[in-house]
Amino acid sequence: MEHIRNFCIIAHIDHGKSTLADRLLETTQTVTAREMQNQLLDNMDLERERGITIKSHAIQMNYVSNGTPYVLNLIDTPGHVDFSYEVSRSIAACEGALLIVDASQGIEAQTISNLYLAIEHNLEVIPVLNKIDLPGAMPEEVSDQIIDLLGCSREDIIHASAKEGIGITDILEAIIKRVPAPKGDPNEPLQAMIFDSVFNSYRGIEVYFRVFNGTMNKGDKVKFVNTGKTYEADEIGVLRLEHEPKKSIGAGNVGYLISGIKVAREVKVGDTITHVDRPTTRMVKGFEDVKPMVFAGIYPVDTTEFEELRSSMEKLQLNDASLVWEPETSAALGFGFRCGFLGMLHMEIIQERLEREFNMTVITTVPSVKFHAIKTDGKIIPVSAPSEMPDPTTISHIEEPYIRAQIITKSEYIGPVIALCIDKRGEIKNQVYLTSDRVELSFELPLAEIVFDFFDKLKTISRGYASLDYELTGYRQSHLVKLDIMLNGEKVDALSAIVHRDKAYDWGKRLCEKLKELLPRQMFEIAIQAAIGTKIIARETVKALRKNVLAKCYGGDISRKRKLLEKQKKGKKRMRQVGNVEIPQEAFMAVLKLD
Amino acid sequence: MVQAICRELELRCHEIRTPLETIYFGGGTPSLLSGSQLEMIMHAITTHFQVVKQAEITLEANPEDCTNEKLAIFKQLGINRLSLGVQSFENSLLQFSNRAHSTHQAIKAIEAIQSVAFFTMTVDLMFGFPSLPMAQWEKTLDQFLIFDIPHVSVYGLTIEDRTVFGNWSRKNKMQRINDEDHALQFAKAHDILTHAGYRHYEISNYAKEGHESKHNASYWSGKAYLGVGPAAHSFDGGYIRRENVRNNARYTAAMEKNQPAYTEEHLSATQRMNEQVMTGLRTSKGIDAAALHFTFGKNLLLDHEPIIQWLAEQNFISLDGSKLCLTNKGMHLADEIALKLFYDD
Repeated sequence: MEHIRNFCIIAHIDHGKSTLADRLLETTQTVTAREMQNQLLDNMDLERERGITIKSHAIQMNYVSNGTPYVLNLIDTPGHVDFSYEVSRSIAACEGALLIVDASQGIEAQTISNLYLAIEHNLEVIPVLNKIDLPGAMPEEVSDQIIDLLGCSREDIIHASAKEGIGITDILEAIIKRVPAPKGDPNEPLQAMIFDSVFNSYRGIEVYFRVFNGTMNKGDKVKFVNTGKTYEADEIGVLRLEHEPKKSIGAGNVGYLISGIKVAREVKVGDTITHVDRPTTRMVKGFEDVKPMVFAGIYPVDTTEFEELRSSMEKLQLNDASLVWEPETSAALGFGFRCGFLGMLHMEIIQERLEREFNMTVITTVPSVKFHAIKTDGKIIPVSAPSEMPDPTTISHIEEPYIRAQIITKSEYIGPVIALCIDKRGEIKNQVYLTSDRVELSFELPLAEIVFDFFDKLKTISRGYASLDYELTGYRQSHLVKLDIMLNGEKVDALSAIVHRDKAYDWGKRLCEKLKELLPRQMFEIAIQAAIGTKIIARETVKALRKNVLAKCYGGDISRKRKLLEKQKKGKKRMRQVGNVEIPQEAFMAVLKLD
Repeated sequence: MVQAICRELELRCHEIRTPLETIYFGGGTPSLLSGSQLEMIMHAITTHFQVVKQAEITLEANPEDCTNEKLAIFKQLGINRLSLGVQSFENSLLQFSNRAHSTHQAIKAIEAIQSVAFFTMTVDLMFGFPSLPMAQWEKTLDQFLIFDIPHVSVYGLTIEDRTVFGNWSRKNKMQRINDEDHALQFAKAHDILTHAGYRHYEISNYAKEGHESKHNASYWSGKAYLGVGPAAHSFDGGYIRRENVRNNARYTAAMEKNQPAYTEEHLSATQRMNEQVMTGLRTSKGIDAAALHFTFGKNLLLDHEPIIQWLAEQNFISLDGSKLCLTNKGMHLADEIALKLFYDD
């Protein structure tokens, strides 16, 4: 056990985590250069394209230091606020962390919150200044930030360039020397923690775990404490580049378990694995049931593809237990699903995976958070879709979730960032200068306000020099109203939204304007109205189509023209009809594009 | 090229088995051909096809080509209908659309043609230019009426991608006329011309009684036609459409080897029905749902009942038994209406 080191990497997007991981694998000869693909650990296409790690993974390396062989387990962590719980579990599985900071960028909010998590879990943090070779590198300044944060000495900071292979051996040596060996007793009852799972279409769910105490042997009867389910450890092993089956995995080590589990929901990140015969009395601390924060409807663009969408969603759920959904019906969109996501990125990822992996084109409706409608009799009704809002006359008030947001930015952008947060109904709570030109701002904000385009706006106003982290703080009473959109007097349920009353007029007006742009002219005039209850608060008109006729139709035109019209007809088939109005799919996404 | 065309006429003469009722020289500027070239083609036609006695033989001509000598040749070859690409009686618009002729030349050509009693005539007029105010369009129409020409095609300018206008429009060098103004000019032509005794017998065509183009009418009614020359289209009257290669060199090379140079499109019954709905709706005769039902086994009135009801209520179409015609209001939206009546394949 004294020759095992478990560590993770904490880094902001683009600060070079994946490249560094690649170099470590190369240097320890875990992969040969030929096997090396860039960013090996991110093996979903989507991850590679976005340059971010969506799901965490793990890999084991062998490294000889001063003649002694060591086993290094690198546990990869996702780098987005949507997945902060998963990060906390990965961190809990380690004794050390590499803190990677881009020498030209400095520390970002996400990094800090993950760093705090690591410190909370008593991880030994090894700071690494990456991209030291870049012309824009400011090693002195960024080192100052790191020293401020960690209270370490300047000598503790390793200078590296993952891209150029500089400093890689220093990092490996530091892991051996500075990260403590795991503690634990291989003879105690089995106590292991699930930190991740991956769906394998041939073998079911692979469970990744870290053993704290005891030993797991092949063939053991094991129990997942939280779900109470028991399994046989059909195959256990360690995660090399390929899976390497083993007879046993002892305390301090990291491994995988395959036991024919078919449903991802049975495998909860953070759950404790123990033996059925000799169970541990100590559950691993920190387990949480992950709860979705953002809700939206997902509908097939082509209504006949509902069943196909259902089976795609089921398959997605197999390897993404955090995705929850139930069937939902919309008058405008037909049959679809109400889905819960960890955050907006998670929602985008699900949508993209549906498109790429399952070839489904979908309409996503207005994202919503979970509101609480407090009825006059005191009953709390959770509302995660406008359609679930009870009759206003039966409600005493509505509450909405609030978050505490940490934003780190350059001092020159403080003004615009504060203005943005205030516009989003936020209150500034704290302002701390990390260095002379980097500042950490804390806000309390309604979650609903950051669900839409907050992050994009933040990036724009700060020219990319702002990072965001947030956590849910609780519910607060708010003056919220349900805003409906009507086309020629018919309500379009899929366009309804719950918004703050002060913003309802502006929202209604802009949505009507956007819809006017997106609705094609039809054979009659279309009235677009926004309403709160029966009160119309905004109106736009799409004038009737005045011309759709080609001038010439002679011998050579007939075929071409017929094809053109058939194509137009196909296009119309993808539209939805409310009353007599045909609505293109983009119109349902209009809310996401309000600026 | 002329040789190649004559070769193609010979090669494909079996495609039309009935005597030719109409012959049309068009697509480009056939009036540029010399007398002997035209004669070669006419000779090939009469050698390989039967032609009915009163056949309508049309030639598209540019005003600048309508000299007395040329007209004499046209007459001698049996051409009895000239289609004159006038486009406009506004010099600025003629320049804008890169026409070689002037208003003056157009008028001279019209007068020259009319002095030969043998010919009947049609002209093209265009509206919908970004720089054509309504008053000018009216003036063009009035100018046209002075000559008492029995047939006129009236086209709205269509700006298509990958054309000079398309490029201009894309680069904002040219404004597009808005749909309202386009519709108003279309309606103005209808008012002025029908008032003057022309029948609006197809979306873009007006004629005095008995002067309708037989040739074009055969496209709309689904008769067989053979098109020869590069990029020419043919239809067998049933379910096959053919399109010749566009490239001149490839076309002549194929003809030299006695090989046809077309691609074929085989239509399904649904596609044929859709075509007939589309072309039929454009004509004043409209479409006969009973006849379509008989031919294709599909009952338009039943299958599209709600939309047909609505179109009739809104005065886009008029319904008379099984016959369905566009109203004046409906003509502006002919394509929109056609596609609502289309069947899925």
